[in-house]
Amino acid sequence: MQLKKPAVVGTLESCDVQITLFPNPGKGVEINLDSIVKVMFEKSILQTVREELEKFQISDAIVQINDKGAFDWVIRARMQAAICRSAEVAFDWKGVS
Amino acid sequence: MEHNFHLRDMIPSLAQDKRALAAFLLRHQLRLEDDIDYAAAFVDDEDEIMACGCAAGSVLKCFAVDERLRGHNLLGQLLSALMADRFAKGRFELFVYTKPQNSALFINSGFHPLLTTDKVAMLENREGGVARFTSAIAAPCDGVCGAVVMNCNPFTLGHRYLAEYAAAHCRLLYLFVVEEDRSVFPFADRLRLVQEGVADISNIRVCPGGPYMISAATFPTYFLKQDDDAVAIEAELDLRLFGEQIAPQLNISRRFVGEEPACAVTQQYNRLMRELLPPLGVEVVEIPRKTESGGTAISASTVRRLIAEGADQQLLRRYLPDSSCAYLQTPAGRAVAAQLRGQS
Repeated sequence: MQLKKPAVVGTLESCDVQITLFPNPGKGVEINLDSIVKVMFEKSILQTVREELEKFQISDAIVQINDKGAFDWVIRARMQAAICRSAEVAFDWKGVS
Repeated sequence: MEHNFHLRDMIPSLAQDKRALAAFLLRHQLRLEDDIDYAAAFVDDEDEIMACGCAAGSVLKCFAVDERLRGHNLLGQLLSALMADRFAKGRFELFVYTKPQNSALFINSGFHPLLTTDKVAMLENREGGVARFTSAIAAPCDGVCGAVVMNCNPFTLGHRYLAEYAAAHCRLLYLFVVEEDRSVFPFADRLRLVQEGVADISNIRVCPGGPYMISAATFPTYFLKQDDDAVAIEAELDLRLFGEQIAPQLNISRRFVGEEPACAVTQQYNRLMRELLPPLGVEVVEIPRKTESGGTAISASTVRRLIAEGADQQLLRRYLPDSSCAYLQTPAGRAVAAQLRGQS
């Protein structure tokens, strides 16, 4: 899947995460992580973000994460929303298992 | 203390929202500026504003939070709402102007400091914006690179003269056209008229000024005290951004500017340019205005006045190159002329 335009999702509220995606044609994935719990959860957050990108087969993107302590499933949901918004596709609810 | 409040959109074009915002901002020594097109606010059950943040184009400004509610990170939620709105409207590169002592609040919300002076801090939502801007326009040059920044509202023989002079005094000339669309001639048309007007000079590179060539109109003077000199603060920000970040990345060592005989703001800007840029390694070359055949100094404001007064082509030709004259005969040009006549 290709990202078509920049997209922002989420909020900077406590326990939420704000994710901004920018297309990055032909230049791979770049993730900039800013998190209040980075010291503890950096690896886990990055892994979640990468997994979601892989699920949507996105190989080029700039991902800006501004995390205020969101749970893993919140980050996942925000990533999915960001990708769908940026790629201008509707989320496939049937595909959710 | 228990507070019931929720976040809602404010539309300044609605009289009711505008009044409420203006009154709230006034209590926090801020002014609701005319260019604000969207705002987000926390309101209580009576719809009284407790906190707000505003947006004007790519600029986020006029943030205020009621003293009793500080420390709850309302700013983060206001920023989230403002950013979502701006992105939905196709604006992806956003800027915040704030007092230097408040910049940490915005850094916590994911903004990156771009430049800080004594009086104002400028932040952006994506790090490295200047580098992206310059790398997109940089051209190889093995000699002196020069720059000139023009609004060209519209492109006159005076601009042509300055561009010609500057191009003759450096190997490569970056000609930046102020992108902020607050002039009567739309940016796309101004840019095209400049391109056509200097097409025969091979060492000129015409570039959009981008978000970093700040025009006086964009500078939010709202938070400055009355005794602060808004022009000086704006000019310092603009010139330091140019001298410290843009010029080094493009190897620019000479900036050309036309002498200003009339406008006090531009005079002050030019004076600060002579003061601030040379220590940063950019030589400033100020050249006298070209006069038309009748002896009047050529300026775009004179041209706009002449158009407003319905001057004929013959008179305008003394001020404008053929390309600009031809533009005035097109439907777009006629529309601008009609607008100018309507204003006068």
